Amino acid sequence: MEELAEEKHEYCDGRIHAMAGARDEHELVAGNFFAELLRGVRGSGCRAYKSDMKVRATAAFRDKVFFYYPDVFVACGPVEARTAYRDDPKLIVEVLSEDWKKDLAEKLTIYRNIPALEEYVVADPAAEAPEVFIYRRADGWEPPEVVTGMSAEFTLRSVGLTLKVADLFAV
Amino acid sequence: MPTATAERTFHRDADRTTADEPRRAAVRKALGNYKVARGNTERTFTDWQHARDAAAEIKYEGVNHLDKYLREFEEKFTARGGKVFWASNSQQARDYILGLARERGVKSIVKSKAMTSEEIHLNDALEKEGYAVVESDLGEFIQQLLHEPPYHFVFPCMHLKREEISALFERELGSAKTDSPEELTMIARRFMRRHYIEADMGISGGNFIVAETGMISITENEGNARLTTAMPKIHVALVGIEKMVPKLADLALLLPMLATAGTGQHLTCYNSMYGGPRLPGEIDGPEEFHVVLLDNHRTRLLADPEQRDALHCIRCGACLNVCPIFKNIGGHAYGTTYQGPIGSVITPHFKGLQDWKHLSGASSLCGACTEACPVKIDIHHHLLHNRRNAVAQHKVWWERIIWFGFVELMKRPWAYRLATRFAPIGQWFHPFLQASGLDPLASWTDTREFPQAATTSFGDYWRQRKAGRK
Repeated sequence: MEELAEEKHEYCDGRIHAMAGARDEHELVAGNFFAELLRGVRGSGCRAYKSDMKVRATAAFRDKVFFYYPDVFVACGPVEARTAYRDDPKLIVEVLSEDWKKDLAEKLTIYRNIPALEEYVVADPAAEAPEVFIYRRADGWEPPEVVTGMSAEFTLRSVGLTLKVADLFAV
Repeated sequence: MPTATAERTFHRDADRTTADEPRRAAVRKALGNYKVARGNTERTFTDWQHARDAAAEIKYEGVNHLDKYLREFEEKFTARGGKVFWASNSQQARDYILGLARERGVKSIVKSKAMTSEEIHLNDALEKEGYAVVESDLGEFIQQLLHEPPYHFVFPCMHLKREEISALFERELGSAKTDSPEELTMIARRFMRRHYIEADMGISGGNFIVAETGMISITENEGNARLTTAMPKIHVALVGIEKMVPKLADLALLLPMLATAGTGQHLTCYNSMYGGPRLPGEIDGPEEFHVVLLDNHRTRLLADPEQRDALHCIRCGACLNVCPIFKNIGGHAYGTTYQGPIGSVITPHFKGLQDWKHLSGASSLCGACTEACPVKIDIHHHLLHNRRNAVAQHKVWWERIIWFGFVELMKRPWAYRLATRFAPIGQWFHPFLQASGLDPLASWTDTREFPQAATTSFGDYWRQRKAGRK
C-alpha cells in the first residue's frame, strides 16, 4: 500500500498515521545533513538515504513492529533487490519537529533496539544556538554528547566523518 | 486482615459509598473535568498511541533488567555521597528509617507525598515512637488531619468539598471559616512553613529512578517536595524498585506522559532531579541523602511473566479516573494503598491472592483502564488472570456445584426446556424468601428488581410464528 500511496505514512504496531509536511528550517538542516553524509560515505560501500526510505525496528515489549521514515540515515549492509525498507541502519539523524518528544524520546526508544545502529543524532534547528545531540552505543547506549554553537564541530564515529555545525545549519 | 473480613468490609463499604449519591456526583464532576483536560493534552502528541508504545518499551527495559540498572543506580548515587538501603519488606524499610531517626536524634519530620510510605504504614510507626510527622502535600495534609488514608493515590482528598475542608481546618487548626480555595491553601501553607524550618528529617517518594545518572526524579505541583528535600538536614527517599528507567532521555517522554495521564497537564509545575546530598559549594540540600529501595513483594510480581507488566505502572492514576467501579464505590472501599484497577491487580501479589481476590471480581471488564494506561499495562486481562489463579489455587465447592449443574443442564436440551418451564413457577415463591437470609439471589434483589422469567420461550415463539404462516 505504502509503495502506491500519494502521501507517506509511518507504521506503529498495526496503526498507520500520515506524516505532516516539514517546515523550512527542518528541511534546510535535514538537506544539509544528507548532503554531507552522501558526500562522506560515497565509495565506502555504505548508502545515505533521505526521508524516502523506511527503517524497520522491533520493540522488545510484545515484539511490536514499527516502520519509520528517518530524516537521514546511513546503512552499510548488502542491499536486497527492490527493498522498500532497511533494518540495518548504522547512523540515524532526526531533525526536531514541532512535537520534540517524538524524535527526542519516542523514536530513540524504539531505534535503540536496532542491532546495527551505532549512532543516533538529533539536531534542533529551533534552539537559540544550534544544538546537536549524539547518542552512541558502546557496551550500552551512552549519555549523549551535546554540541552547541555554529563554530563547533563533531565526529560521527559510525561513518568516520567530522562535520561542522556551520555546514549543517547554514542557509 | 483475614480473608472473609477484607471481603466483607469491601462489600459493606462499597454498598455504603454507592448509596452516597452527592459524593458520587462530586467525584464524577471532578473526573469529568480531568477527562476534558487530558483529551486536550493528549492531542499535543503527534500520535498518543505511539507515545504509549514507546513509554511501555522504556518501562519494559527498566523492569526486565532491574538487576543491572539497580546496581548502576546504587554505584552512581553512592559515588556522590548518597546512601542506598535495600529493603526486602516493609518491616526492614520501617526499621531502617526509625533507626536513622533514633541515631541522628531527630524530633520532627516533614513528608512529601509518597504512596510507598502509605504502603509500609510509616507514619503510624514514626508517630508510635513519638516523632512529630507532618504531611506537606496539601491533599495528604488534609487526609492526615482527618485521620483517613488517601482516597485516590494522585488526588488524595478529591472526595471532599471545600466547606468540609474549611470546617476541618477550623476544628483542627483554629482558622476562620472560608470557602475560598486560595485562602484554604494559605492556611495550610502558614502551618506547614513552620514545620519545614523545624524539621530534622524529610521523607519523600520518587516518581522515577534514573540508572544512567544515579538520580531520583520527583514531580509535583506544589513545591512541597522541593522544600522537603532542601531544608531538613537528613533526607530519605522511599522508592519502589519498579520505578526504574534506564536513561535520563527517557524522562523526556515519561514526564509529559505522567502529567498528561495523571492530571491532564503538559508537565507538572515542579520537576526535580536528586543525585545525593549537598556537595561542597552548594547552597542548599540535605547533609545526608538516603534512598530506600523497596521490594515488598514486587519481585514476586516480577517472577510472573504473565503479569510482570503491572510493574510498568507509573502511578498516574489514569485507570482510576476512567473506571466505572471506582467512580461509584470511591477509593476508600478498596481498603488498599493502591486503589482502582491497578490496585486490584497488584494488591493480591503484594498482600496475598486469597485475601484480596475479591477486588479482581469487582470489575465490569470494560477495558477502559487498559485503554487509559499510558504504559500499556493489560489491566483488565490481569484481573481475569487473578480470578483464574485464585480458583486454580483454591477451588470453591459451591461454585463447582453450580458450574457442574450448569454444564449438565446445557448438555441436555430437554433438561434446559424443562428448566425454562419451571422458572416462572419458581419465581412465584421468590417473594416469600426475599429480604430474608435464605434468599439465594439476595446480592441482586436487595437493591434491584429481579427480571421476570418469560412464560413463552423464544423456541415456543418461533414455532408459533411458523405455524401461523402455514
